[in-house]
Amino acid sequence: MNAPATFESFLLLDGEKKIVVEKDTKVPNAVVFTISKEDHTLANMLRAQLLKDPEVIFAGYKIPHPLEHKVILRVQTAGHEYSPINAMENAIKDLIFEMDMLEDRVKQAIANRQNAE
Amino acid sequence: MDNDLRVRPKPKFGISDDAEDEMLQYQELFQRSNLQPSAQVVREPTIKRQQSNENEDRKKKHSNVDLTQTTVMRPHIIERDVSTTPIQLPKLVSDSFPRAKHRGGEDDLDKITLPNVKKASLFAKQMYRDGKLKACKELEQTKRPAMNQEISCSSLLTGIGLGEVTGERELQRIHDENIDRLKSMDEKEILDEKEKLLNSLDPKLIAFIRKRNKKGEDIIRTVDKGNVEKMDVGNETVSTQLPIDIDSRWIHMDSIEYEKLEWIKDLPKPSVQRTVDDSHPEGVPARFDFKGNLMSRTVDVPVTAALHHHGEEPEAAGYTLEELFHLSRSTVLQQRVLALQTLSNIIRQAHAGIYDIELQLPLIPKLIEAGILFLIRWAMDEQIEAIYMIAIECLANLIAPKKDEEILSKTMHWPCGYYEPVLTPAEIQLGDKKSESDLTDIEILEQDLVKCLFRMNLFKRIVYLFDRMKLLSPLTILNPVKNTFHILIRMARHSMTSANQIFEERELMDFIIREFIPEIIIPKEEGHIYEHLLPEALKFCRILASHGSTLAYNLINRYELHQRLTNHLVAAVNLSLSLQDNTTLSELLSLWRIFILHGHMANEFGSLIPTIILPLCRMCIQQMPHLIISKILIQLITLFDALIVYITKFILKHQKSSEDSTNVINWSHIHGLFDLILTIAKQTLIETDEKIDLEALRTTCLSCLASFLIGQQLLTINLLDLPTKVRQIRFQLFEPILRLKSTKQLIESIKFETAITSTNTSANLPTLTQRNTSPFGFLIALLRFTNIMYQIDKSLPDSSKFISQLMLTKDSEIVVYIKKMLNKLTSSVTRKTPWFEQYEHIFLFHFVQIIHQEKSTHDLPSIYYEILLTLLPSLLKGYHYLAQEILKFVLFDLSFWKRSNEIELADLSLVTNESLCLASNESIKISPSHRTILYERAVEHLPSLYTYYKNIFHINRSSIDLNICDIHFGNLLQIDDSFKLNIHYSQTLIDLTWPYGLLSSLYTNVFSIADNDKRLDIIMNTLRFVYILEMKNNIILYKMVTKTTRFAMIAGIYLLGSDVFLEKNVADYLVAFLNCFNEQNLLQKLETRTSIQSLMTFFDFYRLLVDQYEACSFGDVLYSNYLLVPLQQIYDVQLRKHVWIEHSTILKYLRLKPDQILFSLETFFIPYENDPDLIRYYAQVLLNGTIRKTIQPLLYMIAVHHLNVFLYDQTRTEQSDLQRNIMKNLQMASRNDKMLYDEIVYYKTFSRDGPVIFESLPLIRINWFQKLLQ
Repeated sequence: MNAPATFESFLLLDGEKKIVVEKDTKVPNAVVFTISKEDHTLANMLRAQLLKDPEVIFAGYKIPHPLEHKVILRVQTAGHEYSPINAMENAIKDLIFEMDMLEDRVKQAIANRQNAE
Repeated sequence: MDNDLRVRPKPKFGISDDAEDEMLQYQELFQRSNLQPSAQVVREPTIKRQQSNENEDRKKKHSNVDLTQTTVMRPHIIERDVSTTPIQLPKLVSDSFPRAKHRGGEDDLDKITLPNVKKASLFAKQMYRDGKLKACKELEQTKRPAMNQEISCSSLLTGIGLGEVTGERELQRIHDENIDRLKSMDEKEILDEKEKLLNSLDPKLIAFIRKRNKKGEDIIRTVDKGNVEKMDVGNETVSTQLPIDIDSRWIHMDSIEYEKLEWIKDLPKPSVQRTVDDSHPEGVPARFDFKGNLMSRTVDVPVTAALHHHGEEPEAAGYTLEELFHLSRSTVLQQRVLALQTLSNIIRQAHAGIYDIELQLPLIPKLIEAGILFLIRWAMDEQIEAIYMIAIECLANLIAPKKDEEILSKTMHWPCGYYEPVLTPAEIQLGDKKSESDLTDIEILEQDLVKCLFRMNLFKRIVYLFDRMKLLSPLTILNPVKNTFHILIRMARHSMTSANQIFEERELMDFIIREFIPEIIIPKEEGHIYEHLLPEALKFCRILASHGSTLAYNLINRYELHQRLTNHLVAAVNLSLSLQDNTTLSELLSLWRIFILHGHMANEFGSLIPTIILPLCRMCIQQMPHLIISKILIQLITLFDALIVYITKFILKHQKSSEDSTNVINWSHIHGLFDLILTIAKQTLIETDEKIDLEALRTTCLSCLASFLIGQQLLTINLLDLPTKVRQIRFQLFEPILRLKSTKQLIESIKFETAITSTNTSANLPTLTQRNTSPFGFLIALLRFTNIMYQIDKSLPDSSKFISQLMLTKDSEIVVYIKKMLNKLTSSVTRKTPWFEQYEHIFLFHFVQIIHQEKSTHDLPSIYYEILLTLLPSLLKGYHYLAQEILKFVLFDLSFWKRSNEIELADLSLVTNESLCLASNESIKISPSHRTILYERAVEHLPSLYTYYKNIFHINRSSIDLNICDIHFGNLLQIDDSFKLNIHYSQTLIDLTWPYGLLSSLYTNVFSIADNDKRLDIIMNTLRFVYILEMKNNIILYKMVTKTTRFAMIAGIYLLGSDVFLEKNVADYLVAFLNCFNEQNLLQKLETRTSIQSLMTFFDFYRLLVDQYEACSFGDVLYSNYLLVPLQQIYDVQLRKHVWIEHSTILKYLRLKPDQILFSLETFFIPYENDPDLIRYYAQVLLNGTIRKTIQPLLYMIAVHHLNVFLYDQTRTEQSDLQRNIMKNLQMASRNDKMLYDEIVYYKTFSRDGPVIFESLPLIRINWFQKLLQ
């Protein structure tokens, strides 16, 4: 009856930003990313990728409440030269590259299979 | 036939004249028709008998009062054994209709002749042919067994294992098969086979079988012999044992049947044997006489006492509960009345606690469980007077113990004694039902007996019985009527809802008021009850009214009670010369007092003072040395007390408004009362009559005078006059009372007095169970008066020190008492506050307060502060003001908090660092001196902490909880008009974890605060106060809060926000707490399998803590410390697995160095890890590089340590595969990472600086190593 609309979990509201970047005031070299309308699917992947980066000291996320469709990702890096935003960009690039490669390989595998038949 | 059809059927249950004839006719017709009834009684075979035998055995074995087995209440349903009955499935047919059965050619039948029958019918012949004729079968069978009988059934096979019926059947089948086989063989063959068997079988086995066969025969023989002998004995010896000589002239006594004359013999002597028998190690069923006294089995009771009966043990006198239950359902009137009467007496005695020692199980809960309530309720439905009257008595005894009411009426005039207990059991659990109405009566009964009574249409029945009893002789109905009121009073005590429900029963209420509080006064005639004022009815109204101002108002308005009560009061004074037999007057006054406390009928009373009340007082004083008169006086003075409080409150409230107040009662009405009360009080000093409760009168006088002084002081009326009044009371009353011998005796007796928690009550029927009244009422009144005296004359406490001189004697009874009380209050975490303990609470507070005033220069011993703090969680819900005062007293007394602590702060030699660096780059000092500074800073905050905690006490307080208690303590300004005069009998104001304030509600998100600053405030306040208590080694934390809770409440701070722990102030305290816990070795004593008080289980809590750490800790050192505490080896392996395996991401940023652990390091290494999963995981994270020595030194050392120990453990033969496996993997990895391999293999021990390594491996290790790698 009073269930929230299904699109709330993936459609951005008017004026809502996909990602908000905030510098953490208390911890050095730390940034808080608030990503709207995302859940563990993206956040877990991002965190895993970020933690592969040796310069990243901390990467953790949480979903503040199951009915609030957003994730809060905290990232801290080791040095001033390499900000968490850089780390984030790199992680995203790497992920996209990885995805592309995955896609290519899947396509290639399908093509090979079709040729064989 | 035709006629019958045409006749119109008559109504079956009509009241026509010939209905009875017709019934008889039908019956005759039915009997003639010889029809089989549609339902038949089936006699169960042996099974039932056996089961009931078992039941009996169980009954005997079980406790002596186990009534759950009473069969008729909830009969055992025994399923019929149908396993032998063949099941015939309906045959499948292809046609649309079943085919008609063809009986076969009739010609065939002609040729058939039945054996033994001359002429058989066609039907019989047909049945014979089909083999269905039973008679025939039997005939044939008689031929067959002739052969079988010779060979008896095997004695070896019993078929027990196959079940009762199938076993026997199977046995028979085997037997038949054997016989068939034997039949088919001739004798020689049989002998050959036998020889073969004897040779092949084990000789032992053969011997056993033979012996067994023989034994079977023997048994049969002895049994036979026994029978014969018994018969002989019967014939010869019994005749001489008959206690009478049989006269030959008596009719039908020519041939004497001795068996039937057994009953005239004497009973066997009561046997001691049964009580000490080994077969009853758990005791024997209790037996009672008609008065409800326990009967001993060994005592030889004369049969004329009528206690012997034809039970299981005719020689034992008295009735067991089981027998009484049985008899109370008898159709014989006398038996039923007798049984109910006895049960009623038993219940009365049980409530009085007489059986507590003798019986193994509490009696009342057992009786209720056995269904005594239904039994009584059915008996109340009888039309016979004797039965319903005794049923009423029984019910009254069951639900309303006399002792409770008696003591409540004795404490009623005490300060705060106007509270009535609300006796509601714990809230009803619905289980899987949706609402309470879905629950069955029995389910309700199990949880709440009185609520169950409400469902039983009790009120309609009571009205009917009231009406019926009106016609009977007044003497017989006096007790039943009173008992009915006891029932109603107890039901009204149940809860506010119940009281309203009773009040809405118009018929009942109308009847009660009309008959028992009549408007017209008829001169008292001996023994008349109806149409006269009945004290019980007044009390009933009082209990109803105690449930709130609204109910009291409705009660007065609907029945014009003010008119009725005034009439009776006037009549009592004017009509009778002597008050000495007026028992109703005191009850009337106490009802009026309740109304006044609620703010009703005060003006009416005020207008009566000059004309009625003062003459009444004078009459009382004249007739004074008398029991009833003193009762009336007590009620009168407590009524004045209430009136003074009411007027004070009223004037304070309306001071500013300029309403016309000419008709309203004011101070001038009561001004004259002062002298009157003082006169009465002085009178009590002169009287010496032992029988009269002078103490009670003194209590009320002191209390009333105190209220008078408080009122005058608050209203600033004639302030100059006050000190004179104080001096007057002091010299004429107060000091003489202190010198009284009885006062000293009271104080000496105090060390024995503390309220008891009851053991006999059942959860569904709460009772108060206090055996005697304590001296606290008087002492409270005395202390309260002293207090107000000191307030008016500020120089008095320095000069006189009345109370110290009186109570702090050499023997120091009070100190003994306080120590005892402290032990009692902290005795268990789940302690319930007994109802009458509330007076002790008030006493303790007043006492400490006064002692503090008298000892202005010296410090009070710490125990006084401790008892007050410990008192807080025991206060009943409703004592908000007392709680607040206690807190104010303790928190504002800085002399206590600043007192030097006994223990010196230990030097934390474990930790080499002087400070700790947080994730926010702030450094926290961890030196002992810093902790002292923290403590001092926290103590400075105490005044603000008082406001914080005071508000917490008031958070759970709804407006209806506002209590008159506040008035009593002089807190007059904050009172609403709607309050009630009762408190729940066991609900406490705050729970044991109160020092943690709002933290637990923050953890469970009950209390959500968006504002960050506010939340930080709450956290800081709590941390400061708890820290003070921890540093003071306070007893509330030590004894009443579990160690797990203490740790979790503080560690939980991390859950309260992603950045709270980065605040320097908070982190300061978190470090200090960790040190504190470490000093007390608390970090190694958590109970991880328990729950945190007023919160979740520890495991759930830890899960939250880990999640939070994973999300936003930034790898903070301090947070890591808290997180690591439950990971010590002494705790559950599940906790370690939770972090290491399920949340392995955490391992990435748990970068603690070994020397950053703020508590003992050893416990992470010893005892060694046993769990193979975890060991395997340690190897995995080391090998794949998740954990590196450079990044996570502590985790690395832990993993290496346990892996090393595991690999070199030579005792683990069952896990050698795993050892070998890991070793091989290590060797493989050593090609890439030689260092890791070396560290694991050469590891020696742990240290704060990192792993210590063997220079060269010991020989034993080398050998083992070689062996593993082979």
